[in-house]
Amino acid sequence: MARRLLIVDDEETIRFSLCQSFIIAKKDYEVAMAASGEEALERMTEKPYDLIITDIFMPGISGLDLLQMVKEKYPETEVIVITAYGSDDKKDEAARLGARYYVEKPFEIKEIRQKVFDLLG
Amino acid sequence: MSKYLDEQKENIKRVNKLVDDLSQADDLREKLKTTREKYNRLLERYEKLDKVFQFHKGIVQNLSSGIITTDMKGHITFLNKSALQLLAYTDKDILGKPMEYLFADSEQAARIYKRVFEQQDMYESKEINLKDARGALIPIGFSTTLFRHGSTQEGVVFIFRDIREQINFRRQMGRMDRLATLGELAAGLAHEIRNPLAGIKTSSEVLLESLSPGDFRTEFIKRIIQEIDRSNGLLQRFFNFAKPSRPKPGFHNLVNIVDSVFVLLRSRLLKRNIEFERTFEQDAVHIYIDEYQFEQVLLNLFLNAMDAMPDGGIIRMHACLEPAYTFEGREEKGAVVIRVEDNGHGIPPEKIENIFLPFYTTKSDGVGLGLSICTRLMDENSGKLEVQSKLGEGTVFSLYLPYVKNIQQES
Repeated sequence: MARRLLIVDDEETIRFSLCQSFIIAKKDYEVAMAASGEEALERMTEKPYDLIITDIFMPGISGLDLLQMVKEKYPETEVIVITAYGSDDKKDEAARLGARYYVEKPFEIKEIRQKVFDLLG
Repeated sequence: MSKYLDEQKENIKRVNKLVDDLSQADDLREKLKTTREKYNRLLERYEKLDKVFQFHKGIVQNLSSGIITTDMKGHITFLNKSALQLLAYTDKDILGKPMEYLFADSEQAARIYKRVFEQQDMYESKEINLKDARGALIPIGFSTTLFRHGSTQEGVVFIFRDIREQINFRRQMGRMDRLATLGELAAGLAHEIRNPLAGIKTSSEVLLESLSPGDFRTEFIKRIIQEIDRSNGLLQRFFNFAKPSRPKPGFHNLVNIVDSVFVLLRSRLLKRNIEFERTFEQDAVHIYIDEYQFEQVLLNLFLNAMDAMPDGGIIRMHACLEPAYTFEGREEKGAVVIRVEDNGHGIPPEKIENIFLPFYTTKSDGVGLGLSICTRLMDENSGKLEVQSKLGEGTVFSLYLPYVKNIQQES
C-alpha cells in the first residue's frame, strides 16, 4: 500500500516543488498538499497520513499547533517541521512536541527527501 | 559761728547726698542686674536662633539639588553650594545679576520670567538648559516657589537638579528600543525572504534533477542554487548582526586580535595611503572578551576611520589601563581603554548624537548599522563605547572594557 505524505505550507512554490520532488523520485508515495493547518487537519480526518512536512509560521493554526494536534490524535503520524525563522527555542519546542526532524529553509531537497525515505521507507 | 553752721550744713547736705547716691547705687545695681539678665537671655536666644540658622543653612548648602533665590525683579540673591558648583560660578561673580543670565535660551528665559515674576505662577519639574560660567549647556529639571514675608512677595526660589545622567539614560533606552525594533525587523525580514528563497531553491533542485546528465542547462541551474545560498548567507549575517549571539568571553591577547583585523585591512590601507600605528601598554594587553565580537567592533571602527580620511591619513590605536575614568559624567571603576583615533574630517556636533542609532548613516553606500552594532556588542561584553570628535581634526572612539585580573594570564 502506498505510503501517504502530506506537505503543509502557505507558500505555494514550496508546496509545489516539494511535491514534485517526491513524484520524480518515483517512490510509491501518495503525496498531497495543504495550504494551512486547518486544511491539513481536514485532510487527516478523511484518511490519516503517515508523514506530514509542515511549515511553522502560517496564518491560522501554526505548524507547531498542528504538530501537537496531530500527535495527540494520530500518534503514528510522523512530522517534519520546516521553517524560515529558525531559533533554538522553536527547535526545542518542535522536538518536545514530537517532531522527528527540524529543518531550516532554504534547505537541500536531497536532505529532506532522505529524511522522508528514512521514515517512510 | 555762722561760718561754722554753714560748714555743718554743707556737711549734712553732702552726707544726705551721699546717702541719696548710695540708695541710687542700689537702684543702679538692681538695674544693672536686670539688664545683665536680659542680655544673657537675649544671648541665649541668639545662640539658639543661630543654631537653627546654621542648621537650616547647612541643609540648604549641602542639598544635592541646586537652589537659587531671586528678588521679585529676578535678581539673584543667593545660590547654594550645589548651584555654584554645577554652574562653576563664585558668589561674587553672580550675586545681583538677573536670573535670565543663567538660561541658555533667551526666549525660554523670557517665558519663564513672565510666568514666575509677572503672573507669580509656579513651575513643577520643567526641563531646560542652563549655561555655566564657561558657556557649557547644563540640562536641568527645575521647580519654583514664591516666598513671602507677611503678605508681601519677597522673592522666588528655584530648585533644580542636573539631569544629564537621566538624559543619557533616556537616550540609551531610545537606542535600545530602536535596536529591539531592528531585531524584530530583521527576524521578520529573514522569514519573509527565506520563504521565496526556499521556493526558488527547491524548484531549481527539482529542475536540475529532471535534466539529463551533460545538459548545458545544468550549469545555469547550479549557479542559481549557488546564488541562493549566497543570499541566504548574507541574510544569516544580517540576522546575526541584528540579534547577536550571546558572547563567549575568554582571556585573549589584544595584540593578536588587532593583528588579525589589520591583516584584513592591510591592502586597503595601503591603497588609500593610510598609516596604521598601534601601541599597547603592558597591562592592557590581556582582555576578557568574546574575541570574534571584539574583532567585529574593531573592524567597524577601523573602516569608519578609513572612510573619514579619503585623502589618506593616520589611524592610531592605543591601549592602556585606566585606574578610574569618567563615562557620560559618571565615575567608573578601572578599565582597559582602547582608543582608535583618526585625523579625518571629524563628525559635525549636530550629527554626533545620532551616529549610534541604527540605520543612521551619512555615507551614500552605508546601511547605518556599524556603530549601533558596535555599541550593542560592547554592551553584551560589559564594555562601553564613547566618541569624541572635532570637525576638521579627527575623531577618537574609546572602547572601555572591564579590567578583569586573570591569574592564569601570565602562564
